[in-house]
Amino acid sequence: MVHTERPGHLVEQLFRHSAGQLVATLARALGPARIDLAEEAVQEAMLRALRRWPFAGVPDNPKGWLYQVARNTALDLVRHDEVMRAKLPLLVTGDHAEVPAGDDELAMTFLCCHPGLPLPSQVALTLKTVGGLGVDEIAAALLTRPAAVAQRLVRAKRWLREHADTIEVPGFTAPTRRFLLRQLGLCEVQPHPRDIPRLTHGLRRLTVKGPDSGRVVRNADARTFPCRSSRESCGTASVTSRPG
Amino acid sequence: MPQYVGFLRYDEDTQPELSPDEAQRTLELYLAWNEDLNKAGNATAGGGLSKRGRVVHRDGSGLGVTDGPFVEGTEIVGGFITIEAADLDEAEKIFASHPHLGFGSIEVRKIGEQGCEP
Repeated sequence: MVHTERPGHLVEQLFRHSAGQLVATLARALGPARIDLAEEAVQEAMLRALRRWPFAGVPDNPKGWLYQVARNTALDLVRHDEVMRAKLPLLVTGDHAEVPAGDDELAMTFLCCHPGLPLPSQVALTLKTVGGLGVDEIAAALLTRPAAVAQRLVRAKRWLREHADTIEVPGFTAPTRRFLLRQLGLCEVQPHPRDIPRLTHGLRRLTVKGPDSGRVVRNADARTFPCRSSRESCGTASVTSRPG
Repeated sequence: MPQYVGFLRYDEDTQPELSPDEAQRTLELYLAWNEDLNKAGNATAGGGLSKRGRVVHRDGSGLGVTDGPFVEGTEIVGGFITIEAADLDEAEKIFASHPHLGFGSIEVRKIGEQGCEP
């Protein structure tokens, strides 16, 4: 069944909100060496949606549709890659049409903010992979040239390929605590007004309400890390209150 | 009203990589184009075409099948749209507003009411 009424409404912000999550989910299964493959699969899913939805209608669960296509594309790419074939079981588990709810984006954010990477690379990689921003948009945000951003991303991914083993949510040691704060302070890069809903959406997904009045971030083994409470928490307020 | 088909061509080698934001805007433009045209009474239909395919042909020695549709060059038909329009001029005008033109060309042909029309 497809929706034919107001199709634009159904996909409002869909790619903007889903791309980072889908890349993070696939990349976690594929490993840090193949972030590019996860990005390629999600890109292909978006292109197929562009070719299909205007004519066939927007599917009931557009995000699930994107995930399914992206995962199948990733499977195809992996099958043709001897080294990657071992990752197949990680991709084929679970319901095909449901994006796993989990901390993939958080894990991906930690990877992107790996201390071995220079700070500008951490920011660029996080915006690209988790934030779903394009090279041009990142260049505009960081006041640099797109070619420089592209180069930085290539180098960062190469470094991760050589140095990082898995994409996991680490325990909250002092350094990871700093990375987390840095991530939550994404507003330092002055997001474009149209990106604010997406960024705040992403931040909300990364934070859950804790037992105290403050917001907390829960890691994989359920230990919690309290942030400053209320509207000032972790810089979210300055993102949301910025006039659009 | 006569029907016209637009073949959406694109060059695979020169396709820009779309960021989610650009893909979002493109999708909204495509959907809006269809919606506007349907509202205006120029009912649309269409579909995307797979990248890979086969060409079936027969010659003196029998049936032949080759991978296709790649003949020469890298520009391939990625999809098609049919619309209703009064004449070729109107069809051309309608397709001239399609967002695909940001990615490739559109070949506009009439669907012949009496077979292959001139």
